[in-house]
Amino acid sequence: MTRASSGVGGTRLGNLWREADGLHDFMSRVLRQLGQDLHDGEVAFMVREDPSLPWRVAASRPEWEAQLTMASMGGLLANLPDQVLDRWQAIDLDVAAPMAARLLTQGAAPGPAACDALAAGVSLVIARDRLARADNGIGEIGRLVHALRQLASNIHQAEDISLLAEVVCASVARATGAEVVALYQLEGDAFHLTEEIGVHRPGAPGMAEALAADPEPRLPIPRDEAGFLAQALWEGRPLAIPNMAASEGAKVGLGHLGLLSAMAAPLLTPIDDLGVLLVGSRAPRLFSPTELGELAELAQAASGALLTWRLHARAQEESRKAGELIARLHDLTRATREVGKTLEARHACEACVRLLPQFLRPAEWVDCYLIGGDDWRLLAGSSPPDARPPESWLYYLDRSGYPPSLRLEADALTGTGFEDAGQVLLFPMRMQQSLLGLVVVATERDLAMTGRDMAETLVAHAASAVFNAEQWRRAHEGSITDALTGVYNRRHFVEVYEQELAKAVRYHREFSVILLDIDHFKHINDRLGHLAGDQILREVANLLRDSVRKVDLVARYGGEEFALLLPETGDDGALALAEKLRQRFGTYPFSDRDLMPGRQVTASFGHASFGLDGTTAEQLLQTADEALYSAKRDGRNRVGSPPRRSQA
Amino acid sequence: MAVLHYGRREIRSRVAYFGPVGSGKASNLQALQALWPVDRRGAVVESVPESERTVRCMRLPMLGEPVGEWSVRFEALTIPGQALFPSTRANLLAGADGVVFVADAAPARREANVASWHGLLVHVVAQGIDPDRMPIVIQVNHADIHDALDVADVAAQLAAEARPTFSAVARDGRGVLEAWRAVEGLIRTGWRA
Repeated sequence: MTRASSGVGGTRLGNLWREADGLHDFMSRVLRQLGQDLHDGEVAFMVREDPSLPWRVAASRPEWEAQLTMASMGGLLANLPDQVLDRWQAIDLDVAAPMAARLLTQGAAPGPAACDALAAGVSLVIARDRLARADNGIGEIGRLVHALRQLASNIHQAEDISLLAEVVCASVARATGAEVVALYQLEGDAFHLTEEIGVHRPGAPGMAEALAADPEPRLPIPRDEAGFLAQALWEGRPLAIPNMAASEGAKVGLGHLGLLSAMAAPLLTPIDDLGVLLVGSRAPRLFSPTELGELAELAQAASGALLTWRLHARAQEESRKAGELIARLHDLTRATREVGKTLEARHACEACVRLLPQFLRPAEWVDCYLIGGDDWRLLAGSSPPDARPPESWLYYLDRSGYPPSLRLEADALTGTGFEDAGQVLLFPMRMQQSLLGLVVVATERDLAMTGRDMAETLVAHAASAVFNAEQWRRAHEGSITDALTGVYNRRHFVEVYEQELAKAVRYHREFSVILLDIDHFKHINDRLGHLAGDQILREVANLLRDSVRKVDLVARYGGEEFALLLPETGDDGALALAEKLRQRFGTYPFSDRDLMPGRQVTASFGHASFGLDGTTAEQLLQTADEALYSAKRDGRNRVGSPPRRSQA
Repeated sequence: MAVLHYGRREIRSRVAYFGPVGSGKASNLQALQALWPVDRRGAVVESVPESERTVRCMRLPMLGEPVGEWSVRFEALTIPGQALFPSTRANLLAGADGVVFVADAAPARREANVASWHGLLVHVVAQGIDPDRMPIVIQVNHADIHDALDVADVAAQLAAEARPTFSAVARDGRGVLEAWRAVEGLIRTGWRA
């Protein structure tokens, strides 16, 4: 390799690389300098960036002719330095591996200092070029990475969907340099605009118009009218519309944006189609595959975030609903407890009417009817007391097999007197296959199913309470009533008698008892049979019940013996009543009266009064009993008084 | 670039503080925060640009005067001067609607001012924006040093005599609000075009 010892100095060459714009410019500057120094001789610069690559002409002075192509020069130089053409010198420059660089010159060769400066310059320029190229690459990738990172770091700060959509749109706008970015969410069968941003670059026109434009309502775009938005989602890949005006599929509801070209990227996950990201420009333009790819990447990142947010929102909504349901179930528990805690049918119905509306908002009014025999009566509610459920409703219920509730529309209310209600819900109260009553709720509009379910549960509890109340009433009456005569039995008499006695002792009140025994009842049984005897007993009970005050108590005391408890009644009052009753026996139209001994039914009476005839239960009853038997002894059909009266 | 949020009728705009290392961009932001009404600005947030972990930039959110029905939110941010690779600066600068170029009044920083200014213009051009239409004001900071360069001289060195220029001492807040008002005014003028 030749390295000339004389010629061009390195100092002036040394700084050329600073000013050069790229390798070619640098080489040209060097050659221009060298050419001048080397008496305008021909100079060329060959470089090889890698040993596996052929040499190429980086620059020559003057510009080499076309035939001296890279390939021919490659061949030429392949033989160097052994076959140096006569008029050429080749000088290897000591540049950074794996680069190789040679300077070809016809004239005087540059000196060693100049060669070193050249080599350093070449290395630096190449290194700077590479750096710049790498940085450009980083810039391209960096823009996307920056956008993705920005998206990722801002997504988790988004508190709601609108903030999330804003972050997504802003990131996409920055990364793509778009003029308009919009995020549409697919809800049901329409795209709903969630966020829409416009981008105004410094110096670009149109901002004033955008600010002055009236805000337009952004209506949902039905999926089947959404053109390329829907298509992008359908195909699952981003689509580019270079010229919206010419594109058939682009006639979607985006007119207000004034876009002439656009890209649409689907927001989708394996779980769900979420929506579309729209990137638009107000000029017709082509989009490169790289741009589409970048948008797809951003859309993918946004989809993940959107899905996460949706799932989060859904979870929150479900949790809220569950909380509400639990609260309502607590309400229901309290309401059923309230309805069921009484043994009075009326109280149960009133509680039901009072508590039902909280599950049936908006309920206008509630009625609760109970059925007794064939007769309906309003137990609680807002209708007039004489209101009755129309026959037609009962027919509807029967026809539909008594469902837990039945909704009647306005036309079913015509002619019923309930026309003012928008619609009516019927809740039949049923127990053991029988209809006990009916709860009627009038509402303006349809009610949520959950509320109706709960109302059905409450009414079922009310039905149970009404049934229990009725059962209890019957059981209680059975336990204190004489089954044959319908008046109270001896046990109940004794209970009330003892209470009356206690009151009389405590408050110094008076009261009396009367015992009576039907005369010759054994003969009646014997002559007319037990059925006739039973009839006489029933008739006597009726006679007694009809002849006393409401506060008095009539009881069957034994076989044909009855007892009367007379509160606030003294000795004279008791005697007068006994005598009145005795006389009424004479006039009472007993069955088979003509067949009786003496053609009449008679009874003997005995009475006693608290204080005068004793202060204990036993003393009083014993005195009354003795008086009764004295009446019997004296010939029956009379009133026997305690001995003290005759003594007095 | 100004971002228009149509839904909430809000404009978001970004102003970059650009300049050579040590020229006082961060001091500018801190002064701006102190000078702006407290109920109309947030806190200065320091963030790490994604592409370069060793460099930090600062951001200050501010509420501006509305434009008609549109509310205006500004974000002032510093672009690190010492970034080795221009892509970091390019990414941060992308999206700026205006620039406050913070030059250093120290004579020794003359060349650094020029290099940084050229870097700024290259980035602006690279974004496809005509530098003459980009709202840029020049603030010559450190005006309190004894041999401070004259504002007009700095503008002449940058061949930017047509730009609004301000002498400033950012540490004391002097010239900070003036530079901001000027760049904000240029930005708003652009919006009316």
